[in-house]
Amino acid sequence: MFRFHFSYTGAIGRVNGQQVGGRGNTHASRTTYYHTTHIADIASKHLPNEVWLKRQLTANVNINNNCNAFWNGYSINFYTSGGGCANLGEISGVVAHEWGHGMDAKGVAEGISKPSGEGIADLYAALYDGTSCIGRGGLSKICNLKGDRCKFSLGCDGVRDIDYMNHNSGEPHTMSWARINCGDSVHCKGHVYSEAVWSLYKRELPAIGYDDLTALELTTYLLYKAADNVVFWYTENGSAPNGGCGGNSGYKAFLVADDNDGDVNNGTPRKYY
Amino acid sequence: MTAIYNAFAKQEIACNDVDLEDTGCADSPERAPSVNAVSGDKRVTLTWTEVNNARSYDVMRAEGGCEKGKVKVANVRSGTGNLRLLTDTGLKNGFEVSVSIKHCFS
Repeated sequence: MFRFHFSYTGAIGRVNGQQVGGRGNTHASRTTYYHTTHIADIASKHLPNEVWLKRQLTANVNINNNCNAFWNGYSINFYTSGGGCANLGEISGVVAHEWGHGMDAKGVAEGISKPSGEGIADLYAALYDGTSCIGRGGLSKICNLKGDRCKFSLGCDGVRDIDYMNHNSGEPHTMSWARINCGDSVHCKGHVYSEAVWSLYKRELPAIGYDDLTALELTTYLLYKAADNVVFWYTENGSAPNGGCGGNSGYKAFLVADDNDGDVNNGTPRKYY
Repeated sequence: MTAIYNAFAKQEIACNDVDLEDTGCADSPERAPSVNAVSGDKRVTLTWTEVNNARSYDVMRAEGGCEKGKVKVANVRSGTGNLRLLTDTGLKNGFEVSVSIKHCFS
């Protein structure tokens, strides 16, 4: 399904010292191919009619620059190693994150979701990798959210940790917190809702009896069903705790995804199973 | 629904305009079964308390810990007493398995 452009940098695949597979056979190209194909398969199980998932996706790896990766509206792109960063096409969380931007942009509610599309890209990566540390192994330093550093003892050397308990403050990065601290940073604003979904998986569902695997499966199911229809994850100037009252909010989309009779006002099933 | 509300409310992005109801299914069980396990020779005997409105119970077994992949080894129908019982046989002595009971309702 996927085709790759490549530069001539990066480790070329070799068997018994002989180059195999041509110059495109690099660690980054193989890793990116594997993870984009795998996560697209997972997404297809939840969204079998999603047209974008059936199309070819271009991934450009080993780009001769450092410390960035991006979705440009039609392809995913990864810089090679250097400057304190790994080759980001070799980091599964980064690959899943950039793929997630495509999923966000090309879903039912087309375009990058607001006020930040970074949180949903982080969530696709986190639930795929099974870790709140986004892009673990990508950096040579511990992550830091506007001064609320990730706990050193946990060693998250990715770009973000979307479990607020893994930050020194141990406190949620709320809508109100984001208004004061995030400025125009979409990566920062993404924490407001990515932390909510991660908490659903790691704390709220276990609190009512779900084991970790079941909670992961349920949260992944709800995320794919919900996120496809979200326009505004939350209202930036809302009043706490009602930042999710907008018509296409993340909160309401999760309720709809969880519902089983077309009426969220009579409840949704997820308390006991 | 409460779980979803709690997760979003802690981030201040829930919505109090929607009434909280924890189930859209009438008469669903309101608590999980309480399970007791006694190991024996190549077997484990399980007993658990009935829960209201359960139709049956799936008995799940995992090897290597509760968080590992589970396999359904039996389905036990609900009864009239307070306890259900199942003896899971064919196990290897000295080998740890984890079991859980999942109630089913319609």
